[in-house]
Formats: sequence, C-alpha cells, structure tokens
Amino acid sequence: MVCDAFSIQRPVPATMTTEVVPEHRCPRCAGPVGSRDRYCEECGTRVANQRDRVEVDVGIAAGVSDRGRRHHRNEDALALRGLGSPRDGVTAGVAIVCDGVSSVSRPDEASEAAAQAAAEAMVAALRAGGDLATATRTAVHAADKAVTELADDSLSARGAPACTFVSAVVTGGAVTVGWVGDSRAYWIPRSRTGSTPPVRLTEDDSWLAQGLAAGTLTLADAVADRRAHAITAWLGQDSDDVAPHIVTVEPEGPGVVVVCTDGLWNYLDDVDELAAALPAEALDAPLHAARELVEIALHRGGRDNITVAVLPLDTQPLETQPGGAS
Amino acid sequence: MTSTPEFRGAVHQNLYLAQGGQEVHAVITVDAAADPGNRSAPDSSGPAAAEVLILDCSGSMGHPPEKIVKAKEAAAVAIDELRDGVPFAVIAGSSGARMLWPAEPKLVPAGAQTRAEARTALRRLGTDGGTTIGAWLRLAGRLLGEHREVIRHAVLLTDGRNEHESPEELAAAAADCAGLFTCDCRGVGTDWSVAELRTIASALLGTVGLVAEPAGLAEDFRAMVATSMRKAVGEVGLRLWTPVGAAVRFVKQAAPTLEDLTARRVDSGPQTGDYPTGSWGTESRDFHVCVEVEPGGVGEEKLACRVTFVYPGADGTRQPLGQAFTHIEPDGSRNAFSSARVRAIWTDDLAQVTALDGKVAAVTGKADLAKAVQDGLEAHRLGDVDHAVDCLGRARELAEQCRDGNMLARLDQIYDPDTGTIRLHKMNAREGMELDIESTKTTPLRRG
Repeated sequence: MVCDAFSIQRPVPATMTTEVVPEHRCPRCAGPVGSRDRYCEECGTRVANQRDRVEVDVGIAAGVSDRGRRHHRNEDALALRGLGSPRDGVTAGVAIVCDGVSSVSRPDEASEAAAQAAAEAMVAALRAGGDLATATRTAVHAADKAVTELADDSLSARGAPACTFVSAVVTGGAVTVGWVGDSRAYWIPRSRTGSTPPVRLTEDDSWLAQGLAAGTLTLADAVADRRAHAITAWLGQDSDDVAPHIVTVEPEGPGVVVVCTDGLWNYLDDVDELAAALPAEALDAPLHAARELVEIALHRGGRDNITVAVLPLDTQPLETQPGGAS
Repeated sequence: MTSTPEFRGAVHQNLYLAQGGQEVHAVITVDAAADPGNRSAPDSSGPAAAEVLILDCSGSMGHPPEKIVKAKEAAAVAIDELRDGVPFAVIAGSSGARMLWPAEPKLVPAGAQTRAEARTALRRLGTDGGTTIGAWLRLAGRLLGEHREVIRHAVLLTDGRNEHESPEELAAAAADCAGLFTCDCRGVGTDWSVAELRTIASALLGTVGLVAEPAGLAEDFRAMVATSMRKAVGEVGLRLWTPVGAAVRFVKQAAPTLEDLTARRVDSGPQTGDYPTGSWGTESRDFHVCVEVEPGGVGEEKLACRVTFVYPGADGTRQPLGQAFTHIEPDGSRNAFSSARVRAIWTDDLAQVTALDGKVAAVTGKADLAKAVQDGLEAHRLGDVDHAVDCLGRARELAEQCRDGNMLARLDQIYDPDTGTIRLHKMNAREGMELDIESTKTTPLRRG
C-alpha cells in the first residue's frame, strides 16, 4: 500500500456526485453541503472541512493536523487526552496520530475512527491502572477494530479502509510509544548538549526501512524507488494480525516527544534537523511548537497531510509512576 | 447491447477572480473510449443503428452528368458499409421528397438482397426538378423518428441552393428534426450555400463538407457511414449544474467543430440543464463554458458550475456515463473527480487574476478567428469590400496569433505581403467556401 499516492485508476461512477449526503449546512445560504466535494449544492460556496486544519491543546499535550497544500482533504487524524483529575487517578498525556492509506476507500474515516477509538481505550486502560505498555497495546487493538468495522464489501474494489498508527503516552519520567506503519515518534531533550541526544523512537514498517535493515537496498536506490513510501503494516480489515511495536524509555532530563505523520518527516527526516527546527520553548508551549513544525512542512511544499503532536516530559517526578495509582 | 463509452476529461481554467469579478471561463477536454470489443469486431457488434441517405436529384445534378453518376456510386458504397441488419432507406430529393428505396416510407434492414434492390433503384434514379431541402429532412425525420435505435444518422448530399423554400422553412425543418437524427451534410461543386448546410448540420449535430470533385464522393460517403457505424452512444447530453443566482453566458463545443450549444439548453432540474452533443464513438472533443456567478468575498471559493455527461438509459431517463475528470490545482497537483468542476476563488492578488489559462485563450482565439472569417465572407457576399478586407485581415492576424497553420495558409493565398492587405479578387468561389467550412473546424487541444 502506498500512503501518499492519490490517483483514480478507473472512472468513478458518476452517481457518486449526484447523490448528495448533506453533512453540513452552508453558512451563507443554509443549503446542503455534500460530503464529497464540500460545495454548497445551492449557492456553490465552498465550505471548509473542519478537518482541513485541526488544533488541539489539552495542556499536557498539544497538536496540529493540516490538510497540506496538495491534497484535497486531510486524511490524517489526531486525538489528544490529558489525564490528571482525581477521578483519573493518574497524570498522563496521550497522543494518537493516524494517517489514512490514500489508495484504499475512505482513508479519512479510517484515521479518525482509529485515533478516537485508541484515545478512549488508552484513557480507560490508564484509569484502570494498567501499565503504559499494556494500555498502548489495548489502544492499538481498539483502533484496529474500529478501522476493520468500517470495511464494507460494496467498496471492495478500492480496498478496505486502512491507516497507520502511532501513540505516545507520557507519565512520570517515562514515555511509551506504540506504532504500526510509518508514522513516527521522536524524543527531543531540552538540553542539546546533555548526555542523551535527540533520538527517533520508532522504526518505520516500510518497504524502505525493511530493505535498508536487511541490507538489500542502499539508501539512494531506495529513495529513488516509487515504493519508498509503501508501508508493510497498517490497521484495518486487510491487515494480518496486528503486532504493534511498543517501546518505553525513561529519559535522563526534560524534553518533548514529537509524534508525527510522514507529512512532517518527509521534510525533516533527520532527527538532528528536527531537533534544530523545534522551538526552544517547546516544553512550555507545545501548541506553538507543533504549529511551527507544521509551518515548516507547509513552507517546504506541504505535499502530504501534516500532523504533529508535542508532549512535554518534565523528569521532575510527577505524582505517579507507570502502572501506579495516586 | 454493448456498454457505453468511458469519458475521461480535464478541466482547464484560471481559478482566480478579482474582487467583484463574476465571469468564469473553463475549457473541458473530453476523450471518449468505446468498449474495445467494438473496435475488434466493428462489423458484427456495436449499438443498434439506423441510416438514411438523402440524395439531391434535382435538375442541376445532371449538369455535368458526372455529379449524379458519382452520387449514385457513393450511395451504393455507403450502403455496403452498413452492418448487416441496420435499417436503412434512400430518399430522392428534388421539388419534394420521395422514397427511392424502399418504395414505402419505412426503413428495411440491410442484407444481401436489400442492398442489391437498393442498388437497382439507384441505377434508375434520374434528375429533374428543384431543391427543397426542408422537405427532404422532414421525410427523413418521419422515417427515423419511428425508430428507437440508439444511433440514428443521415447523410445529405446536394449541389445547389435551397431555392424552392424560404430560409425560415429550412431552419424550421432542421429544428423539428433535432433529436430525431444526426445529419452529415455534403455539397458537391460550388453552387451550394455553406450557410444553408451549416444551419442543418448545426441543428442536427453533424458535419459540413465540400466535395469539389464528384469523384471524391464515394470515399467521403464510405467514411461518413463508417464513422456512424462506430458510434457507441447516442443523444449524449452535457449536463451543467450552476449555483442559484448564476447565469450561463455560453456553452460551446470548441473542437472538433465550433458549435454554440447555448440556446439548445433543456432544463433537467432546478439548477441543471442539458445541452445536446449528439452521438459519440471513440473520439475527442473540447467544450468552452462561461458562467457568471454572484461575486464572493476575497478568499472565498465557489463552485461556478459542474459538468457531467448523460445519455438516455434503457428506461428513458437520462443517466450519467462512466466519467472522470482531472483537475489541475494552482500548484500543479492533480485530482480526479466524477464531474468536471469549474471553480472561482476571489483574490486581491492581481498577478493571479491576470494569468490567462492557455487552453481558454486558445479556444477563444479560435472562435474569434472563425467569426472574423465568416463576417469577412458575408461582407464579401454582400459586396461590402472594405469590411470584408478588414475582417479577413484581422482573421489573418488571429490565425498567426493562435498558430493555426491551416487557416493561415488559406488566408495567405489572398494576402498581399507587399501592401499588407487582403486581395479579395485572388479568391475563387471554391476557395471562399473552403475557407468558410474550415473556419469552424478545429483540432482538439493537446491533452495534459
């Protein structure tokens, strides 16, 4: 599956446009706005899709998801949760980022369903006192179930909905990331001179990464190949048993976790370059940091949808440790 | 029944309007691809078709006799080109219209025996009487109007002017036949009127051609009937959706022939109208649409119109054909949708507003060129030499600008480079008619 290829190989049955499923009302004339092309069926005004630009700030985490400059809709999805109330019993920040696979049907719905289902499952598991790895695994399976349920045999010609997945949960001095596909998480310490350098926490499930790891590809050959972006694992009906990668790290000093889709890392592939691009005040202003990173990707072309979440991690011990309760 | 062709197209436009701007232009290029099964076995498959040949046998067709002789040969060749089973008839036109074959006013399926009978009838055809093309069309309309075949087509051959009917009678007959059949018109010699045949061909969505030498008729007839036999879908409509408050300035076919379809709109819904485009095989056409929309604010975007192609389905209702249109975004990226969307974005960036889309400019230039040629020829016909010279001089400039080598070569034949003016006396009747006919023929724009 190729993540960023948008092309229609066959003419689409024209009935798809004549059938208007009103999702919204036009703010100008209150006419119906179709779900497919975002134009008011009465006055023709384009009604912006709410997902064209999404900004979320839950204090303990913040993020931005942007349609980019080339795609006609945003197929990335972002879900953030902040836990810290007495009811939660735990202080934690949760970020889920998913990237819909464009070459199959309804990628935008797939990513949204996955992100929301994962966030709910993660929160429930954390409240129940589960450790970060278990909560992450629970979240991945909830997301996979949600995407699989979107599959509809009538759409089989294009393939069942599918998306990537990456989650980060920070609490206490630890961060746990889980992923399927080529969406990524990075650890960027505040101190650029400390003993822990910036590091990518994820390994892409991609044709490129596998080839490089196996030594069958050189980087130059691989990047030139159109399959460079093909992913080898995803969520959805057509995936085999989902086996998420889960990694937990306990950084030595404060820093931020950056979670993103390939719309960002296509332009900031190198971890040191990403660290350099991150605003110095990211730890205190995560939304500002996410906006700045998205802006860089837009400025460099915005070829794909761009989603960035930033989770500050202050290693001053918080109330709880993973798995603990207050 | 074979499947309908798939339409692939692209939308070309400048997306941007200045504040308060209302007029949106777009060129929509369309490539239709008929079922490959049709092409591999053109004689045995294809949708149901019906064909009528209308032959002028007025007195002038006998002078010289070669005209009627070659016309009869051409008709026989055309009949041979019909698929077996295709219902057909031959009309003899003079001071009225009469059935040449069969004797009764009906169509008969093509077969070895019916072809032979028709050839015998053709051999007996003599020449006499005047020219009443409207009456000939009405008989063809009666014959083909009773048929439900998807492709209903006629070939009309004449050598003279429609002298025994008024222009109004001819125009009314052509209009009444619209939708009953499509008609390709041919004039032999130089005593016929391009304007008259254009009226017919335009109303009946066919072509006009000049066959200067009678000897060329047979190949021309064969080609016309063969083209008709390759059509895969008939009565295709260009369906235009426009927002409430918008006005359609025009809908034109820009290639392969210029055809203004604006006045032929038939409303098909509260915000949609259908414009007839006739029958399609594997072929390419371009359309130029101009819509005036209510202005939006700077930064706003509106859908100015949406184009789809429809055809009569089995139950008589109009259905969308399989179709996909490529849209090129300002940054060069491409998106495909099942309708052609023409958009307007209001901006205060003057550079964006003034950028002309190359393809819109090309079809506009070609339409201006055709108008200059026709105005010039009309002035020439009316004896207004000064105006004729002006118009044709302007046409030559336009032909240069839009790099129309064919028209430029024709206009250069009557152009005096020393004085920089058009010399009308250098143009004979045939050259004038050919210039007229060629002016509305266009090459589809380069794709991509």
